[in-house]
Amino acid sequence: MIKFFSRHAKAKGPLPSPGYFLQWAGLLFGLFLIANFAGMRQYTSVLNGTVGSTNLDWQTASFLGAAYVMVYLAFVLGTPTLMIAAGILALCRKFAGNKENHDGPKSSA
Amino acid sequence: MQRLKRIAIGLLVLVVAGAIWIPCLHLVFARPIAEFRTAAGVSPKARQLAARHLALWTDAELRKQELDRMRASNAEWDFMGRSFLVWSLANMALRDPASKPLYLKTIDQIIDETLRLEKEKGMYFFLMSYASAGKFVMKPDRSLFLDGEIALMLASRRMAEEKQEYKALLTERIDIITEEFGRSPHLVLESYPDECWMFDHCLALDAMKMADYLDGSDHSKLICDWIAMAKRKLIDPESGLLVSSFTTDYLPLGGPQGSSLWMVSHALQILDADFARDQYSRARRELGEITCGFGYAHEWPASWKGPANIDSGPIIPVFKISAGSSGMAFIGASAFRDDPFLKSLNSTLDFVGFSSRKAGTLKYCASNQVGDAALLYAATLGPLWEKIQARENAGAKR
Repeated sequence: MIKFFSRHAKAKGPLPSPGYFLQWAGLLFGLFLIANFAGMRQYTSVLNGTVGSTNLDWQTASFLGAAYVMVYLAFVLGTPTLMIAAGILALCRKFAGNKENHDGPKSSA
Repeated sequence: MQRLKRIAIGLLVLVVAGAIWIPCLHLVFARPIAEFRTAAGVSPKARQLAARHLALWTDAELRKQELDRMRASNAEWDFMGRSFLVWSLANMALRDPASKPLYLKTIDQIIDETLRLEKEKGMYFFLMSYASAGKFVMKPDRSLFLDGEIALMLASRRMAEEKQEYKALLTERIDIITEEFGRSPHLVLESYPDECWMFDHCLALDAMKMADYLDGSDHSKLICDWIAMAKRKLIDPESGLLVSSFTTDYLPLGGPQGSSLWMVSHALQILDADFARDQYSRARRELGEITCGFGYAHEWPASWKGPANIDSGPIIPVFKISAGSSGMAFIGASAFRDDPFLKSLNSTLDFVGFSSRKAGTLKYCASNQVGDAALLYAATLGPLWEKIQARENAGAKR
């Protein structure tokens, strides 16, 4: 399982790795695809109080509907946010790297 | 320490990224208003929604599945889904003469089946179960909910194109409602035992107005008297909005509810245009919201506290979003040409309505047949009301 702020991050220094954010974005996208392929979208009628299917009991249909809404919102809100965050971090790292190169290695003396 | 610092920076970056993304999110779902509603013809979304409903009325098995799902929650929705669809198709028949025969055929099928069910199973078939638990104050037991909406279905059909068989049915239904108003000491009629609905009164009066247009009858005094009574007795003093439900003694039951009010303001347009505009403006101010480009509506104004019910749908906390009120807000926004609100509502619909498109048909999974039919009505309303208004304007000029 991915460790978001893993000690084994490829990143060194104070900035987290953009790769972690991209991994999470990928995970949310994957969950969204699975929920769609599983046909959970039709159960979102729980939002208006209508059972998603008369073949399932009310609790199961409600659970599937609520789960789909969570996964969908996590995808729509989370994935782009994580990608933007990864972009910001990448820029910060580039800027920090350039600065370090420009300043040169610090001497302990 | 290094790890904690990374977590703090990571969270800060996520907050910044969220602050960038969330205000932009509505742009993904924003569509031109013409995709939902057009001044003439039928908009693409209306056509797709209608295609799904027409498919339901040609496929008995599909219709049964859809109606069973709704009836498991609320038998009223079965009936209202029929009403909204008939009113929508009547407007579409006037907007799109080439498809008129198909629309009229479906309208007739719906009306005939609804009348048959009412006759065979009685009015309680289309009412929620608590209707049979209480006693109607006025005798014999009748529901204005059914009488008003059936009358409006018949009148809408005849406005789209005359059908002689429905003339007597409309006259009979209007006469019953008129006679009941005459017997009512307070000029209010029940939809459920000692429970009267503003929505049902306004639609019944619309049906009378249409009957006057079609058959030359005159219910203008009754309509005037009723509006005057409603202004005196049925206005919530805090918000100035009409209350949604009340007893036969004018005691408010549910306060001003968005799930009723948006349609009520539209229904008032052919009864008292200034009052209608006033009610819409108040509803828009008290109930309508646009946040980060997404439109939605509350069920009650801030001054009224009420619990979520079958009409409001679940209320989403913090923002107090009511699914019922937000869905019906499309009708108000469309009727009053409030394009910024309508556009923002449409963005919300595409965001969390969970659309499902198949072979040129569209449905919203988060909605149901009655919800989609109400959306279709919002996308097509206009021509029926315009016919009435044109006659009134011509009369006023003479």
